[in-house]
Amino acid sequence: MDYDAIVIGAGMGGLSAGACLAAGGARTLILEQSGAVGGCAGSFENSGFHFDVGACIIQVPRAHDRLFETLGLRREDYVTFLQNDPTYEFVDILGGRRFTTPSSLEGTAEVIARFDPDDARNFLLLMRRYGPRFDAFNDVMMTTPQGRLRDMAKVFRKCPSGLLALPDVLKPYSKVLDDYFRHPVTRGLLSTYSAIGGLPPSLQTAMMLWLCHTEHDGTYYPAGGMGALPRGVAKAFGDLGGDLRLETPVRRVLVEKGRARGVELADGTAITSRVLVANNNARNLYLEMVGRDRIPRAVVKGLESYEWSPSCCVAYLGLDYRPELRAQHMVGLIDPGLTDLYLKDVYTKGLALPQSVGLVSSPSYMDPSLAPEGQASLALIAMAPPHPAGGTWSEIKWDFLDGMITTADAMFLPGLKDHVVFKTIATPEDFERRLSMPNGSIYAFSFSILSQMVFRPANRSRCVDGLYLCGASTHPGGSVPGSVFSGMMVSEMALEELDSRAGSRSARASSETGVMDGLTDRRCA
Amino acid sequence: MRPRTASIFSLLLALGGLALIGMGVSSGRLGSDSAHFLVFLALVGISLVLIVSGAAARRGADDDYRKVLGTGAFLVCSGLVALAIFFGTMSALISRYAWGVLLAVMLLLYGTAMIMAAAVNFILSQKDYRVFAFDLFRQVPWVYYRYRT
Repeated sequence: MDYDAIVIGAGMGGLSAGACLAAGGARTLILEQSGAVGGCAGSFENSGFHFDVGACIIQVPRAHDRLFETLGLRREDYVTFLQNDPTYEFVDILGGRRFTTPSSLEGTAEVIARFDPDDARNFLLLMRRYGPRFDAFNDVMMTTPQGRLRDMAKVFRKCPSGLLALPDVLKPYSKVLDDYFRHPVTRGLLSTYSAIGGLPPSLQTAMMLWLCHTEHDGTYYPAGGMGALPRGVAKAFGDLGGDLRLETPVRRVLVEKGRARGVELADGTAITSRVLVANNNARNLYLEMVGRDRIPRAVVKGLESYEWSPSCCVAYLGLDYRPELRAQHMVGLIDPGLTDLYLKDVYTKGLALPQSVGLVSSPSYMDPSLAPEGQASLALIAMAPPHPAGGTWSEIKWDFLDGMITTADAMFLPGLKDHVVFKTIATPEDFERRLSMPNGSIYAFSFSILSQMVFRPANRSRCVDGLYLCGASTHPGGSVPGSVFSGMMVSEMALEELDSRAGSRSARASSETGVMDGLTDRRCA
Repeated sequence: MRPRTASIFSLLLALGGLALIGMGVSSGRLGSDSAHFLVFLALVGISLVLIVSGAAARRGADDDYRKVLGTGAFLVCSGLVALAIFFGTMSALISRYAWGVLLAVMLLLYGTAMIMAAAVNFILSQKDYRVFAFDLFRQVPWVYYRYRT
C-alpha cells in the first residue's frame, strides 16, 4: 500500500482527520482538487483585498482547541483567534433601530431589556434553564460517531441528562419564540439563530437555543482571515509528517470485494491505501466516485432522498474607505414570520431576491491587514435559490450583485455604493463548480430532525469497508466545528482499524476512552 | 379548524375507528348476506364521497400540508374502493358466503384509517406544531433508506 490513509478533500473536516491520523502515526496523504485548503472555510485575495469564501466566524472555539490538543500541539503556535465583542450589530430593517449584542448573556439581556424587560427576564431564564442542558447534550452528540441505532443509544448512555433535552428537541423553535418573547425586536434577534441553522423558525427545533447559548461563551475570528485556520491545521499536518497535494482531483474510489483500496486520480494515476477518509459530499462520493452499481439500492434511495440545506450568494467588495462599523458582523433583523416567508419565496419558489441580504461581514474590521491601508474588505451574504426561476446564475449574477449592493447601501451602510472599488460575487452555481458543493448548499444536507444523527450518512461507511466520511454531509453536519468534530471522530475510528488490522492495537485505541471523551466527560460529569 | 373542534373531531374519529374495528372483528354476527351487502355498499359510498371531497380540498388548498392531506385521503380512499370492487367481484364470483370476510376486512381497514386520520388531524390542528409535524410526516417514508446510508 502507498499510504496508510488517504483523505479526499482538504476542507476543515479532511484536514482535521488527516492531522489526527498523522498524529496517530499513520502515513497520510490529503488530496485537494482546488489550489487552496479550507474549502468553504478558506480565504482568497484579489486586488489587495482579502475575503472569506463562506464561513466568517468561529463558534465553539473549544472544537479547535481540542483538535490541537489531540495533535499534541499548541493552537496559538498555528493560528491566533481574535475575540468578537460585540458579537453582532443588529439592524432592524423595518424599525430602523441599530444595536449591538455583547458576548455576555447578561449584556445581551440588558440590550433586550431596553425593548421589553419581560423578554430580558425570559431570555436569561431560558438560557440558564436550557443552555447547560443543551451544551451537555450537544457536546456528546457532536463527538459520538453515528451509523447504527446503538450509536444513538450511546449518546444517551454517555449523557443521560440529554434525555431531559428530548422534549425540547421535538419542539419547534417558533413555539419557544411565541411562548417566551413578545417584542418584535427580541423575536427577530433570536430568530437569527434559526436562520443560521438554515431553517425557518417553524421548522427548526428548540435545540438552536444552544447556538445562542454557546455563542455567549465567545465567538472569534482568526488573525489573517478565516483561511488562516485551515492553513494552520494544514501546517500542523505537514509538521506531523503528512503529505498534502493541491490541484489533485480524485476521479473515483477504488473498491475491491466491498473494500476501499485507494483512489484513482483524474489523470488516471492510482494511489492505494489501507483506509480512506472522504471529506466530500456523501452523495457525490457514493453515486459518482464509488458508483451506484457498487452500493445497495436502499442506500441509493436514501442518498437521493436528502433535501439540500439552503444556498446563498456572497458579494465580495473592496471599499476605498473604512466604514464606521460597530462589529464585524451586521445582521438584518426582521420578524420570524417574515423570515419564514422570505425562505419560502427563495427556496420553494426559486425567487432570486437581492434584497434578502441578511448578513454583512467585514474581515478588515477584525484584522486591518486584510485590506490596503485606509480601505476595507466587505462581504454581503444573501439567501439565494440553487436554481433561480426564469434564468441561470450565469445570466443574472452581475445584476444580482448590483442589487445586493443597492440593498446594503439602503439598509446597512448608507453611501456604500459610491465607495466600491472592487466587486465580485459567488453564486450557488460557483460554489458547486469550485468547491464541489452540490446545489451550493452551505451545510450539505438539511438539518431537519430526520436528516440528523443515524439518519445522516454514517461516519463509518455501512456499505464499503475501510471508508470513513467526515465533513458537512455526515454526522454531526455542516458548520466549521461540526466538520472538525467529524474529522476527529473518523480519524479515531480509522486509527483503531489500522491498529487492529496490524494486530497491534495500541493502548489508546483499545481503551474505552478515545480522543473525544475528555471533552464529553468534562461536560456530562 | 380550531384546535378545540379538531380535538373533539379527532376523538370522534378515533372512537369511530375503534368501533369499526370491533365490528370488523365480530362481523360474522351481523346477520344476513343482504345486511353485509348494504353495509359494504355504504362504505364504498362513503369512500366515493371522500374521494370527491379530497379532490376538492386538494384543489382549493393553498398550504402544502393541506394539499398532502387531500392527496393522501384521495389515494387511500381510491385504494379502498379498488380493493373493495376487486374482492367484491371475486368473492361474488366464487362464493356468496365470502361477503362476511370482505366486510370484516373493509371494517378493519376503515377503522385503522380513521384512527390514523384522528392522530394526524389532531397533530396538524395544533398551530404551533403544524408545520413542524408536517415536515416530519413528509420525511417519514425515507427514514429507513436514510438509516441505511
